[in-house]
Amino acid sequence: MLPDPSAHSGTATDRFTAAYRELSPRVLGYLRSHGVDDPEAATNDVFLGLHAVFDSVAGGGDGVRTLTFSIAHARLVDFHRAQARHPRNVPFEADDDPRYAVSAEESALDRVGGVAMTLLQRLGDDQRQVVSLRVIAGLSLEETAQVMDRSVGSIKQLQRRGLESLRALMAREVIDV
Amino acid sequence: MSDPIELLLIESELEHDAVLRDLLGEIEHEAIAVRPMPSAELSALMNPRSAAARRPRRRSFAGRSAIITGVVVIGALGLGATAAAASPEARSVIGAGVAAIAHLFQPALVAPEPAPTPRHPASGTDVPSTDPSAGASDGPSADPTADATGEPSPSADATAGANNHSGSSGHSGDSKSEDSHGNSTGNQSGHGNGTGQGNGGPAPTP
Repeated sequence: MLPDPSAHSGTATDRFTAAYRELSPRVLGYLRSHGVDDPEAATNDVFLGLHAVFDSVAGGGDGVRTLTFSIAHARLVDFHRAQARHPRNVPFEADDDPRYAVSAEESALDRVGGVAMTLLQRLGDDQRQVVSLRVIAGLSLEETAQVMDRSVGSIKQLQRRGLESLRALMAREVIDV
Repeated sequence: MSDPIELLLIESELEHDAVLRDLLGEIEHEAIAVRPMPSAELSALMNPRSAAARRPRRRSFAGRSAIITGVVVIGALGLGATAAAASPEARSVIGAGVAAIAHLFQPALVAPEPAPTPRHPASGTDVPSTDPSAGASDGPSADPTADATGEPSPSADATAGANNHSGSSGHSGDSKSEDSHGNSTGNQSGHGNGTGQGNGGPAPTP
């Protein structure tokens, strides 16, 4: 349960710390699901930004959650813009080579953990953002629309298509196995 | 099952899809499995007491005493230099004291040689340390005929210039030359110059 920043119980530092404990894994997961380079550093940036305005947040715990993911979404947009301006040069890694064929053992190990996140990452940007904000961040339809600066109707359409795509990806995965 | 996932499925009219429900639950579980470590800056914001404890302390007593000692030594050196410029008598006393203090505080900078000769002008004890060549040229300074043969070598001059006392000691035997030194003893370098003139050319005294 997220604390209300305007509550009179405890200190402001305690309320901020409670918000960090509750939300930081979700912020990290949201940023990871979108392939941010250094998601931990980006998560810290998000909470430093939240701390600057924490005392003036309205709307109680839901307001804190919405504002936190608004900041995280803004950082994500900044990251993608920076990446588009300056393509990142990375050294050659044999494991990242698309011509590399995984062994049966590696394939089985991949499926033990992370397969659901891998399926999520295969969605298009907008669908992935809607699904991750709904599932990982735990935002409502209206809050997601507010964070993404879109209408509720377009978010509803995106989430339905995103879920159908996920279902199809999963069916294909099962057939491949 | 968390509420947001159920709500999402209902809104999308997929509430009967159990496989999708499990998949969304798995996505949530995998996403929040890792708890991030707060950075130092964020930790300081969430824990102001420990951040205050980690602030750098004031300079230690040993550090402050070293600074005070340094200031005292520099002040003493400055005072000695001023007094030496003002009074030849004070120069010899304070100069010796400052040299002793500097020697104590900078043992590594002083070459391990015998102690330097004392800075007393026209001291009789300096006579044995005189360069023989300077002494030889001193004599001819009174005799104009020796000028042609007794021209001092540059090395002898340099030695006399470097060692101020050698010149005065060279003149110690001649009372007229000593008088001229008394006139020109504005500072220590004046001694060296006087010696050079005595060595190189005709006697400077009237």
